Amino acid sequence: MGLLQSLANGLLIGSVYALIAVGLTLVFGVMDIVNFAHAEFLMLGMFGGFVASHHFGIDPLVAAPLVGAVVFGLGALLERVLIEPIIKAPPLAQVMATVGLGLMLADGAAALMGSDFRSVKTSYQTTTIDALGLRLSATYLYAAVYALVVAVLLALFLNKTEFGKAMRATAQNRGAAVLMGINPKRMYMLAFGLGVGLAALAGSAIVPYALVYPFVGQQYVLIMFTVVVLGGLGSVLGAIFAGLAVGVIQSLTTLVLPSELQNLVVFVVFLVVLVLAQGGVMRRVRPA
Amino acid sequence: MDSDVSRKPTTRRRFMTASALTAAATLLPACGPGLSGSGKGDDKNADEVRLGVILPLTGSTAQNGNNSRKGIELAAELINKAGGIKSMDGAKIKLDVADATSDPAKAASAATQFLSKGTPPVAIVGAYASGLTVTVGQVTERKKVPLLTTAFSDELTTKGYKYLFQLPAKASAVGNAQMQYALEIAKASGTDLKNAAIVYANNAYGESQAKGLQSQAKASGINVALFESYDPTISDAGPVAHKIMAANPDVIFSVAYVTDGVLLMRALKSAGNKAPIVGGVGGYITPDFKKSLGDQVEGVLSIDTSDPDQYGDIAKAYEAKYGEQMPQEAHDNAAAVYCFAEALEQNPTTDPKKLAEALHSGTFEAGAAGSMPGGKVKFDETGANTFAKPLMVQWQQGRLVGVWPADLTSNKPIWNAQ
Repeated sequence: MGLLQSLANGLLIGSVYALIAVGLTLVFGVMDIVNFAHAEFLMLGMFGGFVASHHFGIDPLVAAPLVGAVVFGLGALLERVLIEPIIKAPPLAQVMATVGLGLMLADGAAALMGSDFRSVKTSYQTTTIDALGLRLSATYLYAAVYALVVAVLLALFLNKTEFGKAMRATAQNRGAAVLMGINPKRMYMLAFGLGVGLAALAGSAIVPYALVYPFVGQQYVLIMFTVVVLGGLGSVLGAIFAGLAVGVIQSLTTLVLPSELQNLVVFVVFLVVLVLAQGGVMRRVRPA
Repeated sequence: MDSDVSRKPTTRRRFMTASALTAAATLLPACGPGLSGSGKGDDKNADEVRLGVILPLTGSTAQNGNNSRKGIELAAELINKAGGIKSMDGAKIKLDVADATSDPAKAASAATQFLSKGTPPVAIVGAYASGLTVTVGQVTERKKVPLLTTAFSDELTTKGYKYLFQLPAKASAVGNAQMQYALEIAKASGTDLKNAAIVYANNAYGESQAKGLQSQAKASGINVALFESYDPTISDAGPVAHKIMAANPDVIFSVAYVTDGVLLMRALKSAGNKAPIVGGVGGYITPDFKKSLGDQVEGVLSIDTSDPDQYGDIAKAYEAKYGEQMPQEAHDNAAAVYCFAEALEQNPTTDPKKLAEALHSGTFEAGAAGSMPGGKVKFDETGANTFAKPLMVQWQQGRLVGVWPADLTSNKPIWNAQ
C-alpha cells in the first residue's frame, strides 16, 4: 500500500468533503450569508440516516435523498422564519442568527436523541472492493460516488435549468432579478433549503462508516469552511475541487505524520493559498 | 478566514454549555436523596449506607459507563436481598448515581457536588474511564472519601493517594500482558510475529497501556511498525485504518473504547486487513462490541482484567436480568461494591476515613470480589490490588471466554481465527 492507495483514499473522502462544502458555498454565493449552522444540518442528515436504518431498516444510502428532501423542507422553512428577516441586517446579526440556529439544532438533537454515540449496521460495511490494484472500502466508495454524482447534478441544475439560472441571476443582482420577474425570497428559500439539504444528504451517505452524535458537526466544521474558502467563496466548482484536494492532502499527510495531525498540512496549504491568491484558488465566481 | 477562526471558540463553548446542562440535569436527581437523608446520624447502626456512583452515562464512553452501572446496581441489590450489611443491623446499601459525562472536568464537578451537599456518601465507586477517574480521584482524596475504581491508569496509584482503591491490574502491566500473551499464543500455534502495529486512544488509559505494549515489544524483540494515537471521539476511523494497512503489520494491538473500537474494526475489515487484532480491555470485551459487529467479533482476542468464565452466580443473575453476558466492567465494578460491603462487614462504620482504613487492612473475597483473578482482592498501601493479574480472553462462538495463561483460564486460544 503506497502513494496511489493513499491518493485513492484521499479522493474518496475528499468527494464527501466536496458535497458537504457545495451546500455551504451555494448558500453563501446566492445569499451572501455564511451559514454557521451548516455542520449541524450534516449532523441532522446523519441522524436521519441512522433513524432510517436503525428503526425502519432502510439503508442510509437509499434513505439519503429522502433525508435530504426532508431537511430541504426544514431548511426552506427556517430560511423564511429566521434568515429572511435578517438578510439585509449587519453581518454580525447574521452570524449570531446562524450560530444560534446551530446551537439549537445540536442541543435539540442532544435533548431528543441523547448524547450517545451511535452507528448503523449495513451489509457492505466491511466489504473491500479491489480495483486497479487498489483496495477500496465499499462504504467510502459508495459515499464518494454518491457525493460526486449529486455535486455534478447540482452544477447541471444551476447551469441548465430555469430555476438554476434564476438562482444565479438572484445571486448576481437581486434588483435586476426582481425586474426580470424572479421572486428573490423564493430563490433564497430554495437556495438555503438546497444547501442544507445537500449537507444532510451527505450526512446520510457517510453514516455507514461514520459515528453520529449531536455534536459530531464539530468534527467537520473547520474542514468544510477551509474547503469553501479554498475553493473561492461561493464557487460550486471550486468547492468540488477544493474538497478533493483537502481529502488528498489529509490522506497523504498521514503517510508521514501521525493521523492526529492530518489537518496540519491542510491548514498550512490553506494559509499559503490565502496569502498568494487572496480569495481562494478559484476566482470569486458566482455558482457555476 | 475570519469566519473560520471565530468558529472554533463558538463550538467549544457550545459543547461546554451543552455538557454543563446535561451534567446539571443528571445531577439534580442525585442531589435529592442527599438532602433528604441529611437528618441521619453517623451511628454504626444506620439503616442504610450511602454509596456514591460516578460513571460516564453519556458521551463517548457511555456504553461502558452504563454497563458498569448495571453491575453496581445488581451487586447492591444482591447484597441487600441477602440481608444487607449484617454487622450494621442489616443496613442496606443505597446508591446515588451521578453522570460524569465523558468529560474529565464535568466528572470532577459531579464528585464535588456529591461530597459537598447533604450527607456525603461513605465511599464512591467510579469513574470507569481513567481520564475521568484522575479528576474524580483528586476530589475524593481532598475530601478523604474512599474511591473504589476499575480504571487502571498507572498514575492513579503512584501519586501517594490514601483514599483510592484500584481493583484491576495497572495499565502498564495490562499493556505488557497484552503483548506478551499474544506472542505466546501465536508461538504456541507455530506463528512467529515480527511486526506489530499499536494504535491507542490518546487519553490516560490509552497512553499508559500503549507504553506497556511498547516496552514489552522491545523486551520481546518485536518491531513496532506503527505506534499511533488518535482522538477517541473520532467519527471516522478510516485514516487510522489506512495507516495501519500501510504499515503492513503481522498483528494489530488496539486500545479503544466501544465506539472507536467498533469503527476501527469495521474500517480495518473494509480496508482489507487480514492481520489478527488484539484488543486492550475497554471496548473489545463488551456486549455492545458484539452487538455492533456481529460475527466479525469471532476470534478477536483481548486482554482482560478478570475471567468471564469465573464470574459465577452474579453473572447468572446478570444474564437473567439483562439478557446478555456480564461484561468485564459490570463485573469489576460489582466487585468494588462487594469490597465496600465486606469492609463494612468487617469494620462497621459510616465514617469514610475509618472505611478507608478497613479497605487497606482487609482481604475481600465475597461475591464478585471472589471472582477477580486470584479469587480475592487486597489493597496495598498505594491502593493497588496485590492479587490483580491481566489475562487474555477471546470471542468464541459469540461468547467471551478466558484463554491465556493456562493456569488462570480454562479454554484454549485459537490464533488468527478472525
